[in-house]
Amino acid sequence: MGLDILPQTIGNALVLGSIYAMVAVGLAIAFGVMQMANFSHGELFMVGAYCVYVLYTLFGWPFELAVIASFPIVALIGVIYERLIFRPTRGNVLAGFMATAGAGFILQVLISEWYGVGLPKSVQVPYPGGSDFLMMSISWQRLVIIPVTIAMVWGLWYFLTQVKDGKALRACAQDPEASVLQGIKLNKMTALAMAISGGFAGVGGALMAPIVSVNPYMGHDYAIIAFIVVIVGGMSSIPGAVLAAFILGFIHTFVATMFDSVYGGMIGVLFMAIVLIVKPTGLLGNVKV
Amino acid sequence: MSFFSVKKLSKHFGGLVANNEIDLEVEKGEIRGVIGPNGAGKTTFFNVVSGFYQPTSGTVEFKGQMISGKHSSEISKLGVVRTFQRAALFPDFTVLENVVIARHLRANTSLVSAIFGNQKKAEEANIERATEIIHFLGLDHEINTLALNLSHGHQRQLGVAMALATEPELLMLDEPVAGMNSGEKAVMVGMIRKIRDEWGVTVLLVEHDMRTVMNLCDKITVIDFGEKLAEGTPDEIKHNDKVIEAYLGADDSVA
Amino acid sequence: MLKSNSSSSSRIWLPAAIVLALFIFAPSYISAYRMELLTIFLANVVLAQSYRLMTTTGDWTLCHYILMGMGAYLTAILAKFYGVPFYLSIPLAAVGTVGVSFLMALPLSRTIGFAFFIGSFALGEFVRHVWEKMHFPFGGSRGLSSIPRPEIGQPGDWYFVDFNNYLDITNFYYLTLVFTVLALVLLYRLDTSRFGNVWKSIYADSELCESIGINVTRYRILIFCVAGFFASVAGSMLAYTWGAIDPDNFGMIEMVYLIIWVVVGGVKTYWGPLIGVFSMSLIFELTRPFDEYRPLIFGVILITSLVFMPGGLEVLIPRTTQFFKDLFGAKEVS
Repeated sequence: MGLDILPQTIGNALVLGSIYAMVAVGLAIAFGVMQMANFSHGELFMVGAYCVYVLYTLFGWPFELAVIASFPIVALIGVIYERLIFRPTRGNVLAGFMATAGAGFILQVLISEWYGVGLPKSVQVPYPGGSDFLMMSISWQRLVIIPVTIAMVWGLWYFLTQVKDGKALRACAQDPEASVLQGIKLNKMTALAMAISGGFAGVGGALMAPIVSVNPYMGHDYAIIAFIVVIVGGMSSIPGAVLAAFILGFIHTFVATMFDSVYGGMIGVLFMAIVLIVKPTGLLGNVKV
Repeated sequence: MSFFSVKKLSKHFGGLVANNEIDLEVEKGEIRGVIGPNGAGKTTFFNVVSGFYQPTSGTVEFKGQMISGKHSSEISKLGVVRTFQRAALFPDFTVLENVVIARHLRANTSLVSAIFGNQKKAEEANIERATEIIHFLGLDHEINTLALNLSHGHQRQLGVAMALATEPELLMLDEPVAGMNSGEKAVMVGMIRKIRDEWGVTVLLVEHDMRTVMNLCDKITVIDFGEKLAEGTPDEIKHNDKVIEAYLGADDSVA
Repeated sequence: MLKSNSSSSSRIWLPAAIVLALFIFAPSYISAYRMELLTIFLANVVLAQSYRLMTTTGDWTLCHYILMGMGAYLTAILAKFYGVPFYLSIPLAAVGTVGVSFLMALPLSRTIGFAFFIGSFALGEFVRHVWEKMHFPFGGSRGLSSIPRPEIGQPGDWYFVDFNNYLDITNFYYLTLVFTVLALVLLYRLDTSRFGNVWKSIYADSELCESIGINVTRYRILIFCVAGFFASVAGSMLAYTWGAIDPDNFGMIEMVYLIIWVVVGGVKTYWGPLIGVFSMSLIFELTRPFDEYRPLIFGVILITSLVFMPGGLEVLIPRTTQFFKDLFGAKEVS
């Protein structure tokens, strides 16, 4: 790989890492609070992308507004997941996990019925043109993802450390029994965690809508990646998820550039298997929320 | 060559030193008790010595063979078997079935013979021996009861029966009389004595209940704050000032 | 003999014999198309039963379908490129799959529960990527096609099987039926053997097992490989039935359907998965007119099953048998 495309590859890796972080952070927080594992996390991502398709492309809303709107919409779906799937299966991680696979099927069919499967939707690019930011020639559309991610992750950190409900969430993740004794409502916390989980996945999908093809099955790959990231980073660790997201983003981008994307996928999966063997708790596994 | 010897055994959990260079030697045919106040490190010691934790340093030897660092199932195969404080049994099976399962340790069938072969003879021998053990421990009247329907005392006895089913040379008992009333305790004590007297099994037990330990054991080792505090016959221990201090605080009365 | 409460063996043989008879006489009454469906059904039955075996120790995997795919690929390669007859290609493929299973089980056995589940998924995906990447011998993303059907005997022999002949499908169906019955019998014997008891004990209390000398890790690896063996056999049969396979045939969606069969049917008794495959295959066929809605229907079934009837449909067996017993006033046989 020539040095001339190195800055660009780094830039792409940062963008990819940001998206991975958006998707994985949601998974980490849901798992951290009461071990809610969502097999169909990718479908939440997909719904976020469709939010942009519907609001921005079909209804003509400003792109920024559509992205912002995707947070509460998908967060609501997350809350529905919690109420209908995770609460009844509380205590049985596998059962909840498998049930969400069913939920994913449902979402896919609903979206296919409402908006058709056929040709993938394309969303016009609201920020056209490439930039030459720091010698990386990347489209503005991709570049914009990095600051948005940073802002949202920072917002989450602020929420978890400074805001009462956020601190309660962390307490719950560390010790649910003790938290309940302190008067924290467990159901409220699980609903909150799933709302955040959904919201982040939704925004991730929304941001990617103009960049990738929008179809009911687009979330599949991102779900797999999100799980790899969360395993590598440590199942309930948010800093771990962010760190692992960028590591994986770099691995995928560089291998894809030097060889091809399938190898990138393979190496990512292999990396995950290695981490599982050597340090099953993940890279930052002992660092809780 | 000593029967069972623990040399300078230490176990650290991060910064916490649970066991610090403990030495212990058990002779064949002995009934040895390990006691100590709450939090002394007895349970950790027990778990390390039986292979459920790995020691941080130090060695455990059984009949001249190093067993520290070995997997717990391997240690069991060598003849050192432990019981559990909790009710460790297979709840959906009867007492007899539980003990027969425990005998599979000594069985040696291959996968192919399991599918195609006739396992009748081996199975019959197992059932016979299992019945013998159940009779020896006085559990015959419950032999066909489902394990989950047994009383606590009987469940603990079943645990011992299962351990015996593996034909151990050294039996390690984890708080054998915990949670029992005095009647059940007496039965268990009688059982342990019988196991040593009639079957020659060496016993190492960790226990809280002073009276039981004094009554039952040939020799006692006292642990406090992760270290060996004293060792001797029940009589010696009873009059050992350091032990009295550890249990009652530095003061007058004899136990 | 050692029996646990969860198997109700002896009294099921009569209904099983009836069902078998139905399968034997079916071809005379149904079309070739339906027969192909039945053949696939049989393969799925073996697959589901092998997955049940896997879950005996409490370890659920997400790579089982991939193991089946490995069997399918290996059989296809042996049959297509090397003309290996079926009675060799199926066992050889199974041995190969066991090798792959072993390699996967080694790292996986260091994890349990959810980490095990996800780890199995990761390794399964890796294998699928390998199929996609390697044009030889797996045919890359386009897969392998024109897999020749099994032949028995020489041309002119009374068992010779000819491509465009209706009988071909029937003979192949019977061949599949033979393999299915064989596999089911073996799996049953395994389930009730000493190994089956050890595996069930591991699920009940693995710590206790360690203390009585059972090397839990070794047994978990063993069960993974044995389950892989039978999954491979199912895969071989599917490869021959479909005639063409590609990596997309063995994806996550198919794995989820396998889980649906097994969850809906239940895994505690031997017969649970059979109920699951049967009921779900029925619903699958009945929903053919609305096939865009199928995933939704099955999604609802899965969620409902896990939330409201986690034991699976098999919990209804004792209730149903009791119902019929009361109905006919049968005496209580112990």
